[in-house]
Amino acid sequence: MAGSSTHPDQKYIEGLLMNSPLVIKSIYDRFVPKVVGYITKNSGNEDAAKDVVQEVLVAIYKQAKHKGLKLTCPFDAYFFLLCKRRWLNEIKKSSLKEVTINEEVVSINDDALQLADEFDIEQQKKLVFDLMFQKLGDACKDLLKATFEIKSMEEVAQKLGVTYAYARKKKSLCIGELTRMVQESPEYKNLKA
Amino acid sequence: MNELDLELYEAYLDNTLDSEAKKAFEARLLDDTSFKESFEAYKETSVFLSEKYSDQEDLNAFENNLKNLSEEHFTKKTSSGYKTEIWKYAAAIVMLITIGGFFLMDNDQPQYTDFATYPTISLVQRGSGDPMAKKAENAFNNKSFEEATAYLNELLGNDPNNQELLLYRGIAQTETGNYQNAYKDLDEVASGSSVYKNEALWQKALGLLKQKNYNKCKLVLVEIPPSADEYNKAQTLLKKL
Repeated sequence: MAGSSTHPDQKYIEGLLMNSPLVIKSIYDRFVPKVVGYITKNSGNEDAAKDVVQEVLVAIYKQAKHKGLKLTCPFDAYFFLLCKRRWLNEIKKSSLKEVTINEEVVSINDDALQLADEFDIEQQKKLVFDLMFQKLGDACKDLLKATFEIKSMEEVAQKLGVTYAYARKKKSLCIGELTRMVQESPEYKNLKA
Repeated sequence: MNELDLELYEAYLDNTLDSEAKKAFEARLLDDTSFKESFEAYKETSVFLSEKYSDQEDLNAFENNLKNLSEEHFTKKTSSGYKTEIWKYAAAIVMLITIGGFFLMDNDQPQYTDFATYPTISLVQRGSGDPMAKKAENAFNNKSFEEATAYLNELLGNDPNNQELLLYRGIAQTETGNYQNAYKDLDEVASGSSVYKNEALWQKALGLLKQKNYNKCKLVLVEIPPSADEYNKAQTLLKKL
């Protein structure tokens, strides 16, 4: 997204980050009906739409909080695309008979497409990280969990009954180990290709 | 990745390198591509872990808030089944009578109470579970606006530019009739560029309506742009004025 400037709709992202009821409500009022319309026209019902919307909003929140998401397109376009893709995946997974997709002509914004692609890759990477994290030794798992939950290394060291210096060193070694496992995994290499 | 580099990466991300070491580190990032690549990979892992384990309280608060607002949105929508049809007609008749009554009694001007809506606010979300925020939230949501103003004053003392808090204090003060201070807060929010901007204009217009200052009210309403969520209700009120 280099070069593109931040869209004024970034205010929605900021509102989500602030957990602002006003902003969330306005997202529901303005943008959710379109998603519900799309899903109900494509083998889904309102409950399914409700879940998709919640999952996507949580994913956007995380993306904003931890990856500094910058919107370069209208929120509507981005949000709709993410919901739509998530729903199409859902249909594919549940291998619901033959499904005909009723596409309405929705103007697709290039920046939105690019952002949505980046989002998809991030989600797939996360799956690889999760998978590899499970393969780490228990000592690393516990230490990493504690250091990211607690943040203060002094407290972590105390909790785990090790010295501060050891906890720090071990943390970097464990992150290094997880990084190596992820980088070497064929799934991750495919994503980067 | 060698062990020393790993410790260096961690120290850099943790911001515990002294300024000299930090400069050296950044210079090396520029010169040494493989150092840079392996640092980026390390950082990606670190971000993944922080997403997985850090700030879970904030995330939980967000998810809860979302769930409630989602329920509210979807139940509001689905409540128009055939059973409610008859009630709709009944409600419409009652409304006609009431509105008719209003018009007869009060030379045609719209009433503050027809338009006033205050949001249910949620301030306890930033992990810390700030007891003051909880008190402000409860007072506001229970419509004890005097009390809410006092708590919001305290919160704003620590965070004077918080637009959301200013908006809520503006609303609370309109409710208690402290218009001068209310408009000060609302004007500040309305002149900023936060997401609360248009809501602040709307709330100010409501305050003026409550004061029966119809001309000023109109002037504020026309400032609400068509792109705003508040546009439709602002137009409705404008027409009535």
